[in-house]
Amino acid sequence: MLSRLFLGVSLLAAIVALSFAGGASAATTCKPPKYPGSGYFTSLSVTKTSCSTGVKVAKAYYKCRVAHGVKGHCGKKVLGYTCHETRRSIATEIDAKVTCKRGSKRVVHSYQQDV
Amino acid sequence: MARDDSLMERFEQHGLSRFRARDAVWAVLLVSTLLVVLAGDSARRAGEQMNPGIGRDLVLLVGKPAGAIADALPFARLADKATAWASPDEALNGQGSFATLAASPAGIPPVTPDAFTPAQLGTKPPAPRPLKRVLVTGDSMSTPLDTSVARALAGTGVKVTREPHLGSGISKSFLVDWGELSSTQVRKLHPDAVVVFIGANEGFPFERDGREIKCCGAPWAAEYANRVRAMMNTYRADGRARVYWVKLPTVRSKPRSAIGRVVNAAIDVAAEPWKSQVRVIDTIATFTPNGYRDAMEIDGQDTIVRQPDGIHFNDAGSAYLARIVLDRVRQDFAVER
Repeated sequence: MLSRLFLGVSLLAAIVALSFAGGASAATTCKPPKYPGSGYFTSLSVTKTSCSTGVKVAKAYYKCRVAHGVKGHCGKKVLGYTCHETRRSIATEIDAKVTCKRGSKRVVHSYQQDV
Repeated sequence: MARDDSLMERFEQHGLSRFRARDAVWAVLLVSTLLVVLAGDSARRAGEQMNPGIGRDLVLLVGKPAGAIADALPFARLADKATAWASPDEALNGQGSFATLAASPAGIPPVTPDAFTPAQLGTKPPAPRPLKRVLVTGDSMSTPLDTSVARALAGTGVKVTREPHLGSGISKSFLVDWGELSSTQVRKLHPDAVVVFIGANEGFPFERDGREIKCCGAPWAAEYANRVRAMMNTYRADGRARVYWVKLPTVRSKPRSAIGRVVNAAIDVAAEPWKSQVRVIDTIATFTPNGYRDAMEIDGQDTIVRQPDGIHFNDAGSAYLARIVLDRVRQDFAVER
């Protein structure tokens, strides 16, 4: 009887612990790298990968994007990550949020590009 | 008798086995209950942030009822308040947000004595006060001005806090809400003097009552001025602090200069109610009197004052601007030279 109770409580405790540990898979905020062009990386966060990978992905995405000019888009995978970009643009600058995914790994960065 | 291979006798023979398995069960139950009551909402939030899958389903299976229990009881809120000091993040709590700015204030706003400077009225200015804390903030324009100000005040006992928010703008609250940010800065730092230099990234459309206000006509200038005025009001801290708002110099790009002109006009209008506390510092007369220029004469030497981007000041330009700003600060505060 006691062992069954113990098993049940342990299972419940494990699920509760898992719930509260859920935050461990939440995004980690990283220091954005120096922007290679005129503008700034304004934020960088990673999930299930390291900040150094996040920096590499952000820079690789920049390189892919500006291959078509500063207003260009990146239409291919960067370092194995598939990226999606949401932009707000005015005549003088572009502000964008870029979400890159590779399986459960995720790199999210935002940038401000002077035009 | 079957041999007990749990090796518990090692503890029992010294009388160290004081708890039973049932006690462990109760302890686990107690901790689980405390977690649910005090932080059940964070379990739900963690689940909602997870990627879809069995892990998320399991976490939400517990997190949703735990969150509901935590929401219904006051303990989670009390625990949040009690442990707020330990938060490593700079929390913007919504206070002062631009979203709360009134669209059209009712009635005629009264003119107060704060709108007049002693110089305007020909009266004696108040004696300079001691300066303890200075905040230098803004977008990328505020750096390296912040470093120059800190360097100039080194050894005077004045604490200088530098808070540049690169790429931000008053018209782009999607990155940072300067209304909220300024409230947080004042609450956290209590500066006696606030130097603000911002405006390199402006020109984004505003939304008001579901309508879009595009840059750069009078409606956009008015909305921008309202936001600047809200920030000035926050920084002046009911008259306890002085604000030094630096206007934009002309930049190399013509479209950017056109936006800068509107920003500068809005700054002038925004400061009107508090002329005795908010100092608007012009940069055009000094740095770009006849349009954009990379270099100018400083102390008899032709000096490059701008960065290659044609927008920002370089170290030499910032150091010269810091001299202008601090000359104005010294009219309000007693600062050692």
